[in-house]
Amino acid sequence: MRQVQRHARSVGGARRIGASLTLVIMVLSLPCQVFAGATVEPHYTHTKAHGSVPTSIGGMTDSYEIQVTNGRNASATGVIVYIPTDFELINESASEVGWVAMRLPPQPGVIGGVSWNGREILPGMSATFFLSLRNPDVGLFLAAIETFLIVQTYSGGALDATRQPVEITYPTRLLGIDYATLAFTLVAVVFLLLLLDAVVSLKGRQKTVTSKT
Amino acid sequence: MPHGAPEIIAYGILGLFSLGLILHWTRRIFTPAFVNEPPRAEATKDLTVFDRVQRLFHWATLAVLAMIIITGFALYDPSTFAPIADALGIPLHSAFPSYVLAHVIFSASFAVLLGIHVAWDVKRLRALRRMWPSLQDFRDGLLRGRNFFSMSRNYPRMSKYDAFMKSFHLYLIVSSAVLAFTGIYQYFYASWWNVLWFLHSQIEPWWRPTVIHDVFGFGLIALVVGHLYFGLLRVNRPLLRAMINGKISKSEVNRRYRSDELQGT
Repeated sequence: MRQVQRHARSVGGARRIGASLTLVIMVLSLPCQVFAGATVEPHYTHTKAHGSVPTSIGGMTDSYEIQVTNGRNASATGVIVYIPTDFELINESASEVGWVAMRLPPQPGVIGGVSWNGREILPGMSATFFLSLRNPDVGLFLAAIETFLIVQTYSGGALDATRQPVEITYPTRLLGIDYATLAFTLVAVVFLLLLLDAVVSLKGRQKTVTSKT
Repeated sequence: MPHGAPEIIAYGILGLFSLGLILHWTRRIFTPAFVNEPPRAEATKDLTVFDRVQRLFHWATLAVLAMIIITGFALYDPSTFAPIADALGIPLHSAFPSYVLAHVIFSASFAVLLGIHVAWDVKRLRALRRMWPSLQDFRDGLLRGRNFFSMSRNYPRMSKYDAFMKSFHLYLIVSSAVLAFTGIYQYFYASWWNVLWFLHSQIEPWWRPTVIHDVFGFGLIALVVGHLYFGLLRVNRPLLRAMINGKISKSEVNRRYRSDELQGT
């Protein structure tokens, strides 16, 4: 209870936090994207454009873009992102100035996260937040589905919550190097050898010219 | 499951092919091949091997293919392309439709160039026979293979296009057809760049045109790398110079080419 009260002090109201935690339990038991008021997209997914679930790589530090859309007729006054326990929070930021971030460290029975307050999301508008997270390590063929919970808070204690899964997969690497780097290194070696060939041939020609003169 | 070709396959094609080229270079630097086939006929003057239209087509095709590969690669693996985009100061993630448009424009330009090429080489020069693999190519390829693996000391003279060049040309025809078909299908019926990421798999048909497009695309990249490698290799420099000024000197022809196969463009 004391831990919850501590969270409440940092986020702004015991009733709000109590309701939020109730909602956490409710939302976690619902299918994902029921409310679809927020999306979580790791940079890896954004760039690779793969898969039916946002994906990131085990063990790597990735930037997670959280887009929150206010679907209500009232302005949202805060956003809380609950981060699954296996992740390590490195950094947090918002795309617009004025949002004040506060870390909510994980405590026994309460998962950690980040809250943003100090601005409003007007009805129908969106706000974007970024979390830099170190992904948990996963085993080969043992991808983990981790669930983020995004809560929008409104004045008067109303809340909206969205559950967003992210798949953490085993790094697609060979000898610790990702496939793209490996392939392009080999291509670069081919051209370096050709360059070497050209230099040797040029030196040979110079030697021939010198010996002739 | 990814909606495009898995990286291990796409980059695997490129990596394995490059590895083969590195092995070839290493082998040939230590044991160079010496032509020992006697000449069938002596050349008495420099020979014109490629006319102006052929040379223009070749270099224009190279430029267009490079642009197709760059834009296609940015679409396949933006995270690897991101540092290049950053260095050039061009947008990437917010400009996917523009990359698709550029890819389509360059592909259409490639189709136009192919049309000119077919009209010029097949209709006017009647050069289809030159590009069609023959029994002689098979015999030459076999002998070169045996020489490469130290099973023979003999090495044949070179025709204008050897078995590998003809295979490359054949692959270009096949891959262009496959890439055009899968590309056009994606553009009109499975344009994943226009939908949210979680819908990509849903708009992809069962026969996976994106995967086929990626695999053939990477095959094409690998073969273009191979073409550049063999084109720039010391032994093939006379042909490279001929692709610039059109001619091969008579001394080079007598040293390692079949002059009767080089006659005429």
